[in-house]
Amino acid sequence: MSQQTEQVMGLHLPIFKACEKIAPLWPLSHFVAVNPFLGYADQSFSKSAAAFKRIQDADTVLPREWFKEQYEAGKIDLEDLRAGIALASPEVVNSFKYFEESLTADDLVDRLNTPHVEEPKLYQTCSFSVFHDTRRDTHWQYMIREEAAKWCAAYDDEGQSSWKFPWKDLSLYAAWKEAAAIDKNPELNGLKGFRSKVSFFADDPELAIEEAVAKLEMPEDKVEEFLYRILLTLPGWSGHLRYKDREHEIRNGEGDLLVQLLAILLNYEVALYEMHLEDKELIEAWQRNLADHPEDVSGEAIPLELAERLVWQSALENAFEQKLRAQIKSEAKSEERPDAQAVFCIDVRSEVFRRALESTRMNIQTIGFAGFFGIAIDHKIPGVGGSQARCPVLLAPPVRTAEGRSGLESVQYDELRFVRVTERENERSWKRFKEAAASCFTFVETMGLSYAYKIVCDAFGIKKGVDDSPAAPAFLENMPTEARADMAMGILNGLGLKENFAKVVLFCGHGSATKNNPYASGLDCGACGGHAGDANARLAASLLNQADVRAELKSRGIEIPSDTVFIGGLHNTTTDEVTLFETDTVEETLLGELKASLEMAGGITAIERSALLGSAKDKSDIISAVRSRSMDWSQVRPEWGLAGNAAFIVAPREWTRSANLGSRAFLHEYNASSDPEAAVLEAVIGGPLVVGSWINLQYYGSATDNQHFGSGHKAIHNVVGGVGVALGNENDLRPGLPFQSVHDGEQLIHEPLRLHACIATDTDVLDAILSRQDHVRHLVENGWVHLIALGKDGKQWLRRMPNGEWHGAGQQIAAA
Amino acid sequence: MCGMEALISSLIIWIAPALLLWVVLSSKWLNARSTAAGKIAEGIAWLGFVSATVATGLWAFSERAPVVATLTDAGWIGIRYDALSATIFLLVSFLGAVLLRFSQNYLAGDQTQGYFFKWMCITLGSVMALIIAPGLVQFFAAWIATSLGLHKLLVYYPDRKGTLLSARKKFVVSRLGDVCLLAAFIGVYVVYGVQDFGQLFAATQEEGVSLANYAWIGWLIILGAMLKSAQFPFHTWLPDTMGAPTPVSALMHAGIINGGGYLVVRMSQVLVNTPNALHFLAICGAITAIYGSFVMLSQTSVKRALAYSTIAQMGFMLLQCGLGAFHLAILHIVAHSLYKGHSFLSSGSAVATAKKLNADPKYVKLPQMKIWLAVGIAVSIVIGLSYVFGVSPSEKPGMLVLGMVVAMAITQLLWMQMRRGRRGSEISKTAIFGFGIGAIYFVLAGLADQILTGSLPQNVPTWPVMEILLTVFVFAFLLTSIRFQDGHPGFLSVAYKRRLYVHALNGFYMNTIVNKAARKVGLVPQNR
Repeated sequence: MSQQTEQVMGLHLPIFKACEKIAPLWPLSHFVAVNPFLGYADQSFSKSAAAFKRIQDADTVLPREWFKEQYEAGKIDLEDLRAGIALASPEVVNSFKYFEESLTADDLVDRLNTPHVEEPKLYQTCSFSVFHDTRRDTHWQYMIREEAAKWCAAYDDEGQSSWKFPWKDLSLYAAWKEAAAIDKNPELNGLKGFRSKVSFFADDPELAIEEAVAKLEMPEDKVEEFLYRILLTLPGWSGHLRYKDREHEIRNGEGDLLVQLLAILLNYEVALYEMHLEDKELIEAWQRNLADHPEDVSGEAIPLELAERLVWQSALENAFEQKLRAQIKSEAKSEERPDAQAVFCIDVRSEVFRRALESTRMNIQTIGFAGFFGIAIDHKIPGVGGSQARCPVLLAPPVRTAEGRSGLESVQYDELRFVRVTERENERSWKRFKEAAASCFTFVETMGLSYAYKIVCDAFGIKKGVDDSPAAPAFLENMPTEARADMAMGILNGLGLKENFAKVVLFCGHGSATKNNPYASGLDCGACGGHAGDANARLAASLLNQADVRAELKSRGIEIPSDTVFIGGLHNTTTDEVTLFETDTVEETLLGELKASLEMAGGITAIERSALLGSAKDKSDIISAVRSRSMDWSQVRPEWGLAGNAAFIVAPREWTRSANLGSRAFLHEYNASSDPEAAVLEAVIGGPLVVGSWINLQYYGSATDNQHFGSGHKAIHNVVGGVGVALGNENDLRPGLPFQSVHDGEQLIHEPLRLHACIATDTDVLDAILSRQDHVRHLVENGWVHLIALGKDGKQWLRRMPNGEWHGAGQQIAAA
Repeated sequence: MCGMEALISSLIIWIAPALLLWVVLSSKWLNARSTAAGKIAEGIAWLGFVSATVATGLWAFSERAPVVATLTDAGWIGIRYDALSATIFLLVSFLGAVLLRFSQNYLAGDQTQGYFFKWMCITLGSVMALIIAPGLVQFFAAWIATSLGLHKLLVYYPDRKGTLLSARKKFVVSRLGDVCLLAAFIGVYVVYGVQDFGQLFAATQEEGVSLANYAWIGWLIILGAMLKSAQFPFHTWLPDTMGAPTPVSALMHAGIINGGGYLVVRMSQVLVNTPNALHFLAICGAITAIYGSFVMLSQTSVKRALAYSTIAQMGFMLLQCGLGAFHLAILHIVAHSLYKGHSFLSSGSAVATAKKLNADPKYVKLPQMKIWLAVGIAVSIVIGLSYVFGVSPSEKPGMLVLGMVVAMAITQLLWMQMRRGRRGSEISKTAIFGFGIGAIYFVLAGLADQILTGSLPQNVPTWPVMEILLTVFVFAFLLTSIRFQDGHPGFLSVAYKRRLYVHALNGFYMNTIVNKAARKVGLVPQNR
């Protein structure tokens, strides 16, 4: 036994490492962007590109033909290429050397026209099923994938099936053992005697993995990659289980669901292997292959064709960087008291709206801040099961809140809750009546005809009933003034708003409104964990309106004028309409002006967005054409979401106020002068910037290779268990974004560019922060994010190189 | 032909050809101007719907005699507008317009959207031609054209793994159905010497011509219907067609799959002369209904659950046909098409629904005997209603079985409320609600009977023993399904219920078996 334990410990690390490589996949009920390359963040971008190509045949850079089009369209010029060459990573440079090709701009352009020769595929570590399939033209890998996916879906179903998986109370692996011992499907597919084998697999998943690795005679040095490849049999469900494990981890628990799935997958492999033990030729070939050392080129030279594309990618990014640079101009802040201040989420969609709002007649100062406004909450909606973590996914929310709790005595609140719960229960009963075996036939015959009306309403976007907007939220626990003042202080500090308060300060969260869209929550606020940001905005406003909080703030040196009122609002990014909440204490004329400005800004934004939405053709009423998309059940592109995102600017708004950043930049307010310790900046870099990079890389991956990092064509999406989508007849979940979210059919709407993080501080400050935040440093030094220091005065443009040095922009490097 | 008839027929006759004419347009040409193509296709479809609505209105307020207009004296091509074809024609023209509207935004940006509109129009045109067929020839031709058109839509994304397999499985099943139908129609022609439906129906009423020696004709029609309407065990292609865009699924589940039922009802005058074939259909339908609904309950993806739901509903519809309740079958076809069409098109809402209704309601533990209270109330409601509406099982064929199905639905409703620990007063409210559901059922059934009576045979063969057996069968399984929801194994042991779950999740392995066989005979390459 002790020996066995030792062996398990021996495999614990490779198992852990293989699982770490899988990027988590959030459920669609609160879908947030995730960096699909998360497991590779500690490797360089070029190395990872080569690894993805080798392991999954996945592309992290667009094909050469695409770059050719960009070059011919003048979007990349020779200067950009030279800059790209100057910035090329050692792997890229080595590749050109290794293949004895010259690395010059002209040669790169010449080679755009030479046909690309597929390089021979090297032997790779693979699962036994894949090995068998390639040799014998079978399809075992698909069978294993479908079997495992079937059980994941049954176990994790959150609302589709009404006949529930009977072993939900067991662990995934134990449940699988019960179910698989009954399932005849593998045997009918030819996996002989599988059911009777099931009980012989170890009860402990890690032990089962250990046994499988031993049976398959996997050499030690290949175990980690082997296990990773096994997980890639089912990338979607792996990601989803990784998400669940991670949720446990950030709440100080432990999760091993992914390890359990790994054991399940391996058990099928082992069964297949044991079935072929008699087949000496096959087994010997398998063993021979294991003994062979794959020619590992990843260390020195990556494939030339890929190296070329990596240079082109840098060149493309340089072209963007040059344009961006010209748009950021350091300018002084006005001392005048504005009519209103409006705080928006850093989301790139706010950029257009803010620009529009600033252009209206009113003197409005806009401020960019992460859309949860510093209030991380665990939010409960009466009648809805569970609670929603409305905060960035990097955090576990510390405060519990509830909708409708505000201003109500607890008896009243209980009544409200009872009414809501009853409503929902009736809805559930009705749904059950519709779907149950006993009643579905009668349901159809009595209620089916009424669906003609529903179809007409949906087909013509006619609204049925009224959406009730959520009641005011409040904290569930009574918090002492101190604690509330701490939160308020945190918000104002983060905003850099400590003086010169306007009469009305709007916290404007955002959410989307789409119909029939499985990815609806992906269009909501990422900083609110894939939910709308209204609750957070309203809580922030109410907090800052509380008299005791203001008094406490005053004693801490922040004086909010008595005529200043904070209000919450919600920017609907699909229609560009803003709803304001709890406005009764705002001066009437001021409120009127603010509303008029917001409405005007909404119109301007809608018109600007119409160009890419293709609604611009409808000259008669562009705004309503754009808005009608939110009611259209057939619309697969209700809005473009965060497509186009490429920059993250942490600087005073004045520096970008004169620029049109085309909805491509996250804008975070920052004033180095009021942050001498750089504590605020450190929080921005560790939080919002990382979230921004996740969003950026999700769009990036979905654009470069939608097959692997995206979720494919929406028309064949099939929602599984209410948690994710599968494509067509497949059973595995899909990661990333749909094809329609990045592409309009003619061309990519999201041009994949790595995030340019431009920060209004000096290099030494950034170096100090990076030295404390390894995770961010990895992202920067490995080329997943470009970090640019603008200087405290905004007069410089220095880019951090992998070796930690700071250089001028690419073109300057090229010139040097 | 009087003026009214001419008006009605001219309102109807252009619609199917206008859609079928798209066959002359090249897909490539259409792809280049897909926006315009979509708008025009939708325009034609709505115009067709309006035209058909007007025609139906005129027809309903005139003598309600079948309006027949044929192109030639042979009467091969033309229209027959009667209560049956008018009902289904309105349905299909409405759904067709909705689908063409939906597909414009839904497939926007697809490089082959023009191809999609072309084949959507052709398929819709074929379905319409089938519905209004004046005789066997057009019916058969349109039957084949429908399935070929659908095939083009099913392989809209041909490269996806599994798409080709399901499309080809469907292709084989359809061709088997074609052979059955062709042989049956030839048989009908040989026996009665006519192909025109009007003459045929008249001939079936005459004494002396009996189908007793030609039972195979009826059996072939039944088999053709079962193949078309995805009946167990010919259903396996249906849950596998998720590789086609959602509107194609909607068209299939709301339109084309009804073909089998429509065939049976259209040929009901002939089929009532082959009693055993109808009884066989009833049994197969009941088995499929139970099979489909049990599998449906366990499915984890929205589209697969909907597919098994369709299989179950088609089984139920053919059960109604087999019992001779043809008017209810037509009511079912119309209601189910609207429901299922909407369900598919809105299947993207599944996430929002799951998010909203994710929590399991709290249930109380109840004494096991209480279920019989629910059953008792429900059965009393149905008996009471049938007394009020003057429907007696001895007069209306199938009433026993179908009444039991309604009673089980009300039981489901009551049992859910009881399990939630509701007080007596609320249970009474639910009982009144259940009474309302039952009343709607009886009213709609009465209306369907009244509207369709002229198109349907009156001398339906009955077999009381079978009806009683089917009633018991349906009761046992539906009650078991109700018990399953509260974790109770019903009439089974816990271990057996778990086994049943695993088998149901796998669709009782029918797909695996059929797919394996399909690969073996080389229907698709091994790796597709």
